[in-house]
Amino acid sequence: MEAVYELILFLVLLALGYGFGQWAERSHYQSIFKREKELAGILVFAERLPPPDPAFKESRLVGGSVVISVDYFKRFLALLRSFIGGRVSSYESLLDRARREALLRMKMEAQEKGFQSVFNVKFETASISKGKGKNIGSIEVFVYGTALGSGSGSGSQ
Amino acid sequence: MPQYSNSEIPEHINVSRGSPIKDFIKLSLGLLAILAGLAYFLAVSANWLAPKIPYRWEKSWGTAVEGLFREELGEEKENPQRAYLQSKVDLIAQLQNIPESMAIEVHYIESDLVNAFATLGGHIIVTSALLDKVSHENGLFMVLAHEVAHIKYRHPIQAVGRGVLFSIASSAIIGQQKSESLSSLIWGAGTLTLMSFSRDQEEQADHEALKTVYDHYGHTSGAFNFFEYLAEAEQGASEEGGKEAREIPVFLSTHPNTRERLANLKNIVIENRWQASLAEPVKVETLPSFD
Repeated sequence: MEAVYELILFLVLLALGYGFGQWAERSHYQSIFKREKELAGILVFAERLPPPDPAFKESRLVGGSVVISVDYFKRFLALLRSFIGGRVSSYESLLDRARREALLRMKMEAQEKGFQSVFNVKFETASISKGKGKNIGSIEVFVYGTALGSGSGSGSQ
Repeated sequence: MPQYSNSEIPEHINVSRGSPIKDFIKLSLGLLAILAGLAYFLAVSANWLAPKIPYRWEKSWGTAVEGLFREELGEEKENPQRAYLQSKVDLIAQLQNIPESMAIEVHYIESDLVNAFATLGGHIIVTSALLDKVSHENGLFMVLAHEVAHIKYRHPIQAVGRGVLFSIASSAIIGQQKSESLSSLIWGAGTLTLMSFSRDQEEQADHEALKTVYDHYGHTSGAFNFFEYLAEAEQGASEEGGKEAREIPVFLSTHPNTRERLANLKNIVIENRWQASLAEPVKVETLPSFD
């Protein structure tokens, strides 16, 4: 009987994970698309050395970080996938959202400080709690770079 | 900075298309099929390997098992019932051509549960309630012959071997990345099969037992005495619902449907012409009184 209760609990968790996880993902993507359009004016580059330009009067470190958690359904799907191998598609969208969100937060910081571009952009990812035991795994993505521009005076805000 | 721009990144490069629920169904069904195949393979190999384990080894493990049920069911004393049952089992062992080295020991236990079972190391446990329920020796002989046949064909070691193989396999698969729910599911399935015999094994034991009854008495009348009681108890339990469910004999839980089983046995009797001659009245041996 205990096994039946455990199975029911497991299926409920799976359904909840799927329901809330999909809802959260959809709304997060909508917000990402919207803000990406709004912040399209802030340019980001991986290049370490920008070309010399008189407009670059000031520089400052800007960064954005996000911690995002996987839901029960996605974690179970990834576990199933780990037996067979192949693209862990359930984690792909999770990481994609985290990277884009962190980049947006960095852009927001740059915008608030009046910069128009960020050079030498780097991504760092860290796994929190590593999904040990009953913990649901979550990841952190941190994006940082050097904002260049004329500084607060000529910013868009 | 007019020479610089960020172009829009197209979607679905970093993220695979496709519905996660479809992925989930495909993966879980595929893995279930693989697990079922693996379980089948393990069960078959356990059945093949287990009888190759020397009976001496099984005997020594049986001592440990004996300790377990002795603790649970209390101290057993030497009594006339045990001696009587042992004499019948010895006779059955002879009839079934079981070698001397495979000693079979009967244990008689005072209990309200109607039960008889064979376990590791050639131990047969019979409860007092079962002895009360069978009305004559022929019926008891069939039950005992059935349990002896299990031991003859090494069914207990096959069942345990299967359980052990399942638990080894599940810990090998789940191993370190132990997901609570998944492991408990597999463990549950592993232990469920631990001490129950398969349908084929029950049929094999039934067939052998019936043959033994025929060899001993020259007919099979009365052999179904206990099964008929079981069938009635089963029906009674299903009619009365949950209230009486407690009283269903334990014997039922590990055995196939009794009515079906009775029908199969009666077919065997007819096929082999083992029935008593209709001309003479059937003689059934009475049980001795143990007072």
